[in-house]
Amino acid sequence: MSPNKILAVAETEFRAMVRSKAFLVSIVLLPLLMLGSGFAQKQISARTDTTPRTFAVIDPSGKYYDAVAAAAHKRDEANAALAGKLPRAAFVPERVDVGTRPLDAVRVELSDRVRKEQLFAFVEIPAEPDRDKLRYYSDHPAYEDLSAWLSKTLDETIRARRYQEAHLDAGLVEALSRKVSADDLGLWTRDANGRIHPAEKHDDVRLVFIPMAAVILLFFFVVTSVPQLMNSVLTEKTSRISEVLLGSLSPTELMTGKLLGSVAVSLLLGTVYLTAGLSIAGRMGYAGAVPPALIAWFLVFLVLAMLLYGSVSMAIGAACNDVKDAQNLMLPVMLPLMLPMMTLLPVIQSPSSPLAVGMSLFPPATPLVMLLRVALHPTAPAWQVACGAGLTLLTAAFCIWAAGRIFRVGLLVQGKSASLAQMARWIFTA
Amino acid sequence: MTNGDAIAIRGVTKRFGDYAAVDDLTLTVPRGSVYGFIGPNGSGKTTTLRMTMNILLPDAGEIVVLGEKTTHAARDRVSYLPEERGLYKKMSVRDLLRYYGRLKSVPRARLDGAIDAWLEKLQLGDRAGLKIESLSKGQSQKVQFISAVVSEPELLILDEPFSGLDPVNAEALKDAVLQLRDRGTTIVFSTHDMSTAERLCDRIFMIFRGKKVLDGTMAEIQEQYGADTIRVRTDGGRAVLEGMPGIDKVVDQGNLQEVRVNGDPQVFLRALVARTTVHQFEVASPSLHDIFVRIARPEAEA
Repeated sequence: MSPNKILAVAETEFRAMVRSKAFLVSIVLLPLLMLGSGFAQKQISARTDTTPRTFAVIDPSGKYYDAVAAAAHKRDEANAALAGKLPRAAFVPERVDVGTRPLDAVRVELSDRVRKEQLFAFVEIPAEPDRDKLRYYSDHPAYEDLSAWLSKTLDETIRARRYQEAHLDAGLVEALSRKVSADDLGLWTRDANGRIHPAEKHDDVRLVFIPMAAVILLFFFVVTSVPQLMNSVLTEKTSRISEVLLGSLSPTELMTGKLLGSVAVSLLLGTVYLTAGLSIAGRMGYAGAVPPALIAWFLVFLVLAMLLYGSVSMAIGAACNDVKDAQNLMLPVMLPLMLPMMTLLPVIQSPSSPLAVGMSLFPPATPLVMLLRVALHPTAPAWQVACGAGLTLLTAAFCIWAAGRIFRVGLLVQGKSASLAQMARWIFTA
Repeated sequence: MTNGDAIAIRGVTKRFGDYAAVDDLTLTVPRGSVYGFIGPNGSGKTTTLRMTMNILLPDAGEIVVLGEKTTHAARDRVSYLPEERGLYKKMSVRDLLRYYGRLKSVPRARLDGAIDAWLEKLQLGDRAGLKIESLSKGQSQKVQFISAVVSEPELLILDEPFSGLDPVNAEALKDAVLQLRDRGTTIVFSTHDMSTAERLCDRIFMIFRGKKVLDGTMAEIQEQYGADTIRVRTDGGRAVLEGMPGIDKVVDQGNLQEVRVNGDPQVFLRALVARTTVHQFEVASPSLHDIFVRIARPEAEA
């Protein structure tokens, strides 16, 4: 192995990647897009459709219409008080006098008015709300604000009426049926001086959000960098550059160099994103919430993930002859990376469960799951972290070697792309 | 080390499935020589070159390059320009040559000087800063050639280096090859252009269906194939040759016919004089092209 040659390859790969459009997208455009989408959301919510929603009310008992109208009026006043900060459509009730007409005829007539957009919806309040359901008819099934507001309003009205009929004081009932809430606390501690420190409240941002953000960020880096590496190998193969290179250095040296270049790119990206993320956290008052050890572990597992997935994707690039074939082959390879994403929640809930420990020691899942466990509380024991990192490193070393073998054979095979079985044969017999 | 052979191939076989691309090949390339590899398409030239470069591994036999059993050890002293070769389109000419030079462990201090000298020599001095994708085909081929020679290798292996080049660029590269030879570089190249092989090579090796069929200097090869080609110019032209005894083959070149006879040329001359007026009668050695076609006839016609 010649370190100078590996360095030359790594440097060239790094420069090529940093100059690529994909890199520009991930380092400049993506954060811009994130900021932009926040801005766009604000703009869009300011443009909410505030056309008044007129709805007809069939109230056979005549007991509830007034309460609904009063509540709608109160809601309008609240809207006005917000002065457009949270624009909402006004709800405008309209009483329906059924008279002696058959109810079905009234229903059809009201439906027609909804179709002609004279009404937004109509509602039937049952005469016996204890037994029957409220019926809400509309042509806008996705708009649930009005139906939700109606059922809440009627619920409150009917409950108040029940208390009244039972000669109960509504306020007293509220007070008596108040729920007991819980404070989610950590543990008490005693320091070296014997002083006792009370338990602190659990903070979801520190305990759940930051670990999850770290894992998602790592996942994002891997899924964006790995296909680039595959493409770089594929391009060298299809444009017949590889054979020239193999006249100068061994496939393993070439692989290692390209991989290191790519790891350097993701470390650069990682540093940029971490710096940005930490400064945002600082502004939101969570400056100390991300412990330096977590940052270090993040970078360690980023490197491990890149080595592992990078080497496999390069082997696939070497075995295939066009992007489509390569992408198809990438799918089963990326699956072990998706698996940890699907088990995020169970691992967060019990970080020491057999599932969490097993996944974190399964090399293809180690970078993501072990990072999560390191970030969670209770944190993973040091021996497990070391064991996971070691196993991943060994697997990565094997993958680099195997990918080198596939490289040697695959690069000279033009025409048909290799299958996974063929690649396995190349590894052990070439 | 300057003694010994540049390449020694001993009893090498390479199979792809049941097909023997190279079959028990033994060949020695002496240092300082220009060695031409010829043979029809698919006869094993490129496979032999790739095995020499350690890109393919032989199934049997051994290959010693510059005294080293594996090309790994000799890698920096050997340069290889494959037949199908690409370049990084987005790189500048200088960056690309620097990269290839570094891969051959050329010290940085020497590299830029060597790059400039070669670019100048091949009339690319003003292209150093341009991206590869903006070069013409001929210019890219010259850059590829420079990428192989910028490290001043002891052994230079070129697979079809002149194919697809216009005559001017082909001449420029041939001159460069001869200059390298004068500096002591051993050069092995494969080619389909027999006149180039005849002109440039000290020795010629022909491989056919994986086996060595020719190996030696041009004179040795011609001697082996005898002086059986006769060029004649007569009043009777081609028609007069028809039905004459002792003629294997006639190649009609208009005013001139090339005749291969299987007997004594003097007997043939007497018979010819008896039939027509003879203006020219020349007993010639067969050209490399002729010899090639004779060996590979069934393939070439297929």
